[in-house]
Amino acid sequence: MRDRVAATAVARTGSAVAAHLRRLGPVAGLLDAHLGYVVEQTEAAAGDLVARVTELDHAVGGVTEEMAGLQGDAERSLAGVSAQVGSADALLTRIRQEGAQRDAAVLDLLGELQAMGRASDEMGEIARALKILSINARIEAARAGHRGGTIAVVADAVRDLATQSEGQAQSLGNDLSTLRERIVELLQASMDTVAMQLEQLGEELRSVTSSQQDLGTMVTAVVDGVAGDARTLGDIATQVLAATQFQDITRQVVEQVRDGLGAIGGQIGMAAGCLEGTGSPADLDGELLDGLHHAYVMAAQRHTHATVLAAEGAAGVGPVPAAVATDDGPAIELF
Amino acid sequence: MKNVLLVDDSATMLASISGVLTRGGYAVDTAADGAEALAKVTGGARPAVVITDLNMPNMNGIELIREARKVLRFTPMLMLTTESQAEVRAEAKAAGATGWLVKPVQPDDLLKVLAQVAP
Repeated sequence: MRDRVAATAVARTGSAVAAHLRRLGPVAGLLDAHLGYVVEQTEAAAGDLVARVTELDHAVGGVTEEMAGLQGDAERSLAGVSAQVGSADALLTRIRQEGAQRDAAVLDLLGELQAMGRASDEMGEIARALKILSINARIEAARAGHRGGTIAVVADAVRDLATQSEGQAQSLGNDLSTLRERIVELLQASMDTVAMQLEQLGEELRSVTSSQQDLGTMVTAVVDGVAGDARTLGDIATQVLAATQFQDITRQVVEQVRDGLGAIGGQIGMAAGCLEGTGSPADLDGELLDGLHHAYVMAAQRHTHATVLAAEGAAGVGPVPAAVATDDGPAIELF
Repeated sequence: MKNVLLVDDSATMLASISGVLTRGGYAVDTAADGAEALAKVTGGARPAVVITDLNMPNMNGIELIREARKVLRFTPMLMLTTESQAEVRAEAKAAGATGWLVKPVQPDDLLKVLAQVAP
């Protein structure tokens, strides 16, 4: 009787435990749904992160291309300015040479004017000599008396011509002298003005060249700086993209956990069946724990790297830690 | 520009690794599982390298390599997976895999391996 009572009590307890275990089944399903939600959310977040980083990377690439284009434009522009400055400089040199040639030609003309002045002086001397000669002829005509009348007429005519010639020679000499002085003044003024203008032009060309070099240096510095920043941003983008591999790893780990929960739920159902007398203990999976433990060990290695990445991420984006060799082989193996 | 056929059932992984490869100078074609990748290969796609995940729906990475190897006899095919068991590696090697990379892989390491198998 006591045994029957005890057996009834055990059966009641077993039924109660079985009923409780049956209620745990949906719990496993609920946890699975929770984890599924976690996977879904993290995947969406990682996907969004990858998309935004990819956009950033494209933008950085665009900036890099624009900078390269800007540098090309600047180099072509500077080359054009350089060519124009070179042409202007060559033109300046030609102007200087032609100016020097013109000055030499004018100096030659002045020399010829000077020679003409000397000829004018000689003509004056000749006129004065003719005047003396005419005076002498006049004296000789007076001595010859009435026979000298013709000579006196000629002597007077010669004197008049000599006087006119002397005046013309003097006038010509004065004109030549004045002309020479005016040419010298004009030449000197022109030479001074042109020399000053050429010097100013040369100075402006040197200034343009200097500014052009400064501009080229600045453009190169800016382009190099932006290119360096773009490379850094690109490297960071690559590291961030690579870091999202952990989402996939985490997803697989969570899915292993979900599988484990499903298996546990099944085992709970089977245990309940055993208690209810509808199942056999032989149906229970004795190796379930070993399988779950193996999966845990595999995941633990990844967790270590994820922790390292998170620490580096907190301090700024660092390199993605490479997977390390496992007991089953190296992280990278070429067959 | 060399073309890489990247196979993974995770859209995030496809985008992530595609970004790394693109920045490394590769053109990337993607497939969401082995069956889709095999269809591309039998349809005439001739990638310089195939990089595939292991666990995928419809057709896993080893099955893909075994079938694709019939068409792409000399194309390097790499496994990129979280798995690392020796017996699975051996199976992949027997199927014709060129190499095995365990996730997460560093961008530089991935690009070095690509340069090595497809110079």
